[in-house]
Amino acid sequence: MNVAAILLILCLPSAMLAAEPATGGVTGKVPLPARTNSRIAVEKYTGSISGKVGSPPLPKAGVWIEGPGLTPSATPPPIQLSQKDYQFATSMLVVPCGATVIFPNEDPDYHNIFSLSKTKRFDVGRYKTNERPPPRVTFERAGFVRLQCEIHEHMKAAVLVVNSRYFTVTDETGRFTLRGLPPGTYELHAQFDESSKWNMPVTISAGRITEVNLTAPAQ
Amino acid sequence: MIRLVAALLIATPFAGLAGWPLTSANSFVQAYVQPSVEAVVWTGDHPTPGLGRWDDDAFFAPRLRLKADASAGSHLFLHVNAALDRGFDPGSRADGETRLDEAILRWRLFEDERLNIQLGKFASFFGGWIPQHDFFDDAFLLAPLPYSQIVGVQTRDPAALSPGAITARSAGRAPAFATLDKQNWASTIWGPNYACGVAAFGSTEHFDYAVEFRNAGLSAHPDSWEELNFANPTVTARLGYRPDASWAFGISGSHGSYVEKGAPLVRFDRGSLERSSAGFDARWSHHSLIISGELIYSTFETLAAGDLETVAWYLQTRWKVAPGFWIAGRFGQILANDASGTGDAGTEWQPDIWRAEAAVGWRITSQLLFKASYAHTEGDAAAGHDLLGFGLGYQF
Repeated sequence: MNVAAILLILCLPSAMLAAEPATGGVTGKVPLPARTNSRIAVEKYTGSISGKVGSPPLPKAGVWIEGPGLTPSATPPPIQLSQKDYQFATSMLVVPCGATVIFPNEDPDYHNIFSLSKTKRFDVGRYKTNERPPPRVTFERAGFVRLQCEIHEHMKAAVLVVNSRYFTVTDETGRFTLRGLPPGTYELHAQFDESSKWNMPVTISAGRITEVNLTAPAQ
Repeated sequence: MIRLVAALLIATPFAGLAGWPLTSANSFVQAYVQPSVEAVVWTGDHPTPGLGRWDDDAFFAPRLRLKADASAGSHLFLHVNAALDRGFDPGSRADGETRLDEAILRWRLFEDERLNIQLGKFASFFGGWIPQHDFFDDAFLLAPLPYSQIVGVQTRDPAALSPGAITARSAGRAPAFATLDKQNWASTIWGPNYACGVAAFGSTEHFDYAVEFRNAGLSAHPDSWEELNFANPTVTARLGYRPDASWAFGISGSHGSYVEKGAPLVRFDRGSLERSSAGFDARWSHHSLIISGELIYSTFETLAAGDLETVAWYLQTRWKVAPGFWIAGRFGQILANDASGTGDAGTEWQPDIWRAEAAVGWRITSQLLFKASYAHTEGDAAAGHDLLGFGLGYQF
């Protein structure tokens, strides 16, 4: 092996690293509303709940950035939102435009998930435990979609459909971090429900996490 | 007092508390208040088929309803359901009334639904229709035939139910009962039957069960539901079986006095005239389709006309054709035996009745619901045939 070959082998990893684009991130806290829209999970009449009702999922907000080149892929992978212990698995699901959400029922009784939101109006009907195939809905348009169960009024969740491939969900305190973002200036968005929305410009720099401060909801 | 509480509850939304979940600092105590408005316009023949009563071409029946749920921990619950309207049955209090339909204090013994005990004023556990009777849950505007059609049993003057009186009515020499004050007569089951008492009930994965002990019979008029007199109680029980989520079956039974307050007790006491009922209900549902029905056998003891028996049934279906939009149909019958006349002669005390219904519903938003319902009744010579209703409901 000659010297040129040895130098080539030694330089290859650093050359490959240099070819990989440097990314950054953004972190912050969404001021979640103190009041949540939870409803007491008790059935007035028998026959619709035969097991223990779980605790409602903690309230969370969706966060995403929009800008040139950040639109979602044409075929985003399907995402699952199950119902177990007469509750949705999460209170907030963020999906890119064009994504399909699968709604498996893991309770012994029927669920009937529907939405009458302007963004997406659908009703999957009554479906059983582990019914195959489980009902699925494709969300084409960006917007906020409130989910309800026709049988269990206390069950609430939301699907936030975003026109971006970079999104996340806050924790229950409102904290979030988005990583792997290409450097540039974008619009950062956050949303809790139909009326609680935030947005602000954010500049992403390679190799650093930008701290942002979201305050009062944008109208 | 009940009405005062109801009036206060009705006023609550205007105090800024309605429509909001309320939670204590440690989340031990929670409450949820849900006001709603239901406005129905009825039009049809006179006298009105069903339990409504009005003389004009149309009757406007608005209803302001307030529901409140509260919980302390995971075992103690309170549910209140109050209404301000023109009567429980459309037109029965045309000038308006404030009413407490339900006030339930419930103790859930375990973390799941195995066993609950509740007391207060609550809907009966009998049958399969009552759990879905709420305006926003029921596909129709009118209750099924057994829950909305009076039959020829006098609950406030049972002594008048003699073979002679029955014969006179049957022969047209006396007014037919449907043209008389409907509150004096029995319905197989009067609506959801919000009577007062105590109940134990529960559910497991495959079974539902309930026993209730209450002040008024299933056929009792709404005025009797508030009478706090348990001297002649009605005991009702139901056992339900759900082999899986698609199917649900239930058998129900009820026994107790049907004589209501104010009856002249000359030759009998209230406990000596009883009614017994046995019912079977079934439901099948899958995806957008629900099919359900009930069969109810009832027998009423009388002083001089023997046991008056009815068999009432209905079959109904609802099909959601689009998100938030459904169509529904229902058919029901009430069949009756003959009363004991003089000698071996039997006298028809109750004509056989059938009713066919169609309804559409459009849930315009998650809060706004429109329903239209048409009912055609045959066999009740003293009442009209057609009843049409348009209803709009909004949950705040």
